Amino acid sequence: MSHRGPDFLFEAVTNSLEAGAREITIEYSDYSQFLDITVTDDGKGFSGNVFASGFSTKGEGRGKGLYLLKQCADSVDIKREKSLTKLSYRIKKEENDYISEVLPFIFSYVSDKASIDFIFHSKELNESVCSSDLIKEFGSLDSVKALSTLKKRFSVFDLK
Amino acid sequence: MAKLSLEELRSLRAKESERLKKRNIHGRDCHIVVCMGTCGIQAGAKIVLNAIVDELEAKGLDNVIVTQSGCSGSCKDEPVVEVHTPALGSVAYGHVDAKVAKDIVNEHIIGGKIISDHKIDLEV
Repeated sequence: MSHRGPDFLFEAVTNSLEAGAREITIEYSDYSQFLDITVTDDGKGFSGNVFASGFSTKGEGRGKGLYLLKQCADSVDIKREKSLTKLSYRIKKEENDYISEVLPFIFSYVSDKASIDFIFHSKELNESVCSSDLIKEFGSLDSVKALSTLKKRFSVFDLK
Repeated sequence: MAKLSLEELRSLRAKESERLKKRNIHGRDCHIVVCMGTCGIQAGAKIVLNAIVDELEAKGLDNVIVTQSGCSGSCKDEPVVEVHTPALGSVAYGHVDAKVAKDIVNEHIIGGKIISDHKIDLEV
C-alpha cells in the first residue's frame, strides 16, 4: 500500500496545523490524467530542506511525509511569500483516487483548530466548500452523520 | 522532574483508562481514533477510517465519534486504531484492515468484547 494523490493532503494539512496555521486553503484541480493540488496556510513557515528523508523539527521518527511526496509526485514545490506557505504538487491520477474518502476527514480534523477552504476545479465542475458553512450545518464534523453525509456529498468531486 | 519508570507509566495509563470509561465526547459515549501518520497512511489507515464510518452508518450508530490522530508511535503495528468506550476503557488495535475495522464496530462497540487477536499495547 502507498500514498495516493489525495492522501498527501493528510500530510500537508497536518504540517500546516503543526506550523500553527489558522487558515488553510486547498486548491484541487482534477485534469483527469493528473491532479494539481496546492495547500496554502498562514502558519509560521518552514526552514531547511523539508523534502529530505528524515528531516523534521518535530522529533524522532518524523520527516517522511514530504520526502514521500517528492518521490511520488511529478513535481512538487514549497515556497513562502507574504507570510503564507504554499505547497504545490502535481501527481498522476490513479483509478479509485477518491477525494471523497479524504476530504470529510480533513474537514473533521481541522475543524476546531483552523478554518479551511476547499476549492475544486475541473473541466466539468468548479465548486468551493468552506468549513464554517459545514460547522453551521452539522455542528461537530466528527459525528458519523456528518462524515457519512459529507462522503456522499463530496463524491461529486470523484471524477472518472 | 524525575523520570517515570515503565511500570509507573503503565500505571498512569491504567488510571487514565479507568477515567476514560466515564469519557463523554461531545455528548457521545464512544470514540474511535484512527492514527493517520505517514506510516499509518502507507499501511492503509485511510481505508480503515472509511470502513469504520461506513459500518457505523450501516449499523445506525450515532453515539460514536471518529477522529484521526498523528503517528501512534508504533509504526510496526500500523494501521492502529484506538477505541474508547465506557465499558472497556481504552483499547488499541494494530494491523487493522477493512475487515477488522468492521469487527471493531460489531464486536467491540456493539458487542462489548475486545478483539484479542488484534489488541496491542501502545509503546509509552
